[in-house]
Amino acid sequence: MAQTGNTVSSTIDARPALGRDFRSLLGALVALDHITGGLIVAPDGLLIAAQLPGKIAPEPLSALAAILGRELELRGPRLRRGTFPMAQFASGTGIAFLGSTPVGYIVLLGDVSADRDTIRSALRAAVGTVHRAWAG
Amino acid sequence: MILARIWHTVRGERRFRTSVQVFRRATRFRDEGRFEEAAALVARGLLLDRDNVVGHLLAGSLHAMLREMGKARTSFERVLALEPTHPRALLGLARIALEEGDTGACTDLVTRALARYPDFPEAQAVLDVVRSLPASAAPKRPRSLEQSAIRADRLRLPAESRETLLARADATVIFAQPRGLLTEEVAARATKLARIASVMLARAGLGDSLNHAVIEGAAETTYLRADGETVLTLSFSGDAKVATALAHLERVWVNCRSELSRQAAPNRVA
Repeated sequence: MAQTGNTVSSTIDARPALGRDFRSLLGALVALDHITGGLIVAPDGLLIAAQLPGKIAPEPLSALAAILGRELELRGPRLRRGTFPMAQFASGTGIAFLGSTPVGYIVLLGDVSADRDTIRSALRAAVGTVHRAWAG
Repeated sequence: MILARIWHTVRGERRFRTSVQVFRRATRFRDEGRFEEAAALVARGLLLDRDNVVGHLLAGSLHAMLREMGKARTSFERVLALEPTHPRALLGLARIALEEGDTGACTDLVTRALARYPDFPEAQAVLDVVRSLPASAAPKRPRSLEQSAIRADRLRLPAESRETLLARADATVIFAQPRGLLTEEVAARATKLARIASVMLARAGLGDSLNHAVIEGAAETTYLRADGETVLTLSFSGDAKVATALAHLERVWVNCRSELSRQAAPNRVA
């Protein structure tokens, strides 16, 4: 019984560590098929973690992701404040996914072949992990 | 003294002798995403050194991270009172002005930051956004001609759609169903969102214009279609399948474009 208790306790303790280890979290998401890069950015634009192709400068992208995230967080397109867990923005050549967490925003960049359902599902799980780690 | 240091070491306590140490540690915590701990340290550091620029800048950054924008503004203004051209404080205030829809103030602040430090990529990115927005954030009054010209039956709106909005890039409402007191403001928000997203996509190397967006909310999902001239949004229940909703969006978009083309040639002989 004592061993079982320790196992449960260790699992619970491990959850916050996962949701607070932003580099590992981002690394797992960027490994998804057709994802070309990603970043985690605080609401004020501070870059927390990034894995981007060399040609993309992280600082301006983090500033823009934070502006977009805050705009969605504050108002959304329908003016319903604070109801934005996830969004995706597609151009003719690729797609950007944005997930909202208490520490900021997770951004993933993908090409046109990206499986949107798979990526949404993975991003939703990552957002949930961060939420759990930061709850309370 | 030596005994006291040994005692502290044995107890595992850290004593900060200067505000510099406190703010350095707070910066590390902030960069690791440990915002609450960083904020506590900053408050402590400012008690030691209340006119410390780094401390007030960190406080502003942390307030912004914790979504406390009023407090963030106060901290950034305090930095500027101490150092009037501090670029990070100018950028912080510019971002708050942008959030509040004050594009004029945002432009002024970010221009001042770039004048001081021309190689400031974040400030340049904010300037790109604000330049892409209409000069005034005030919602446009609808044009009566446009209001009467677009009919819902011609757009073949899906029954599942809760709200539909068609607006020009300058946020002029072309069509809205239902229409209410907030419709103009919603149009301004939707067009602003489309412009910010376009700038971000360009910076991410994904082309220079937004094609469509899917924005999940707690109870409903908004689907947005855009080009450089027009923005269309449809909202559906959160239960709606994304592929189905996107198909509806594309069909309504084509109908909208067709109606707008028809309007543009009103004198054509039937």
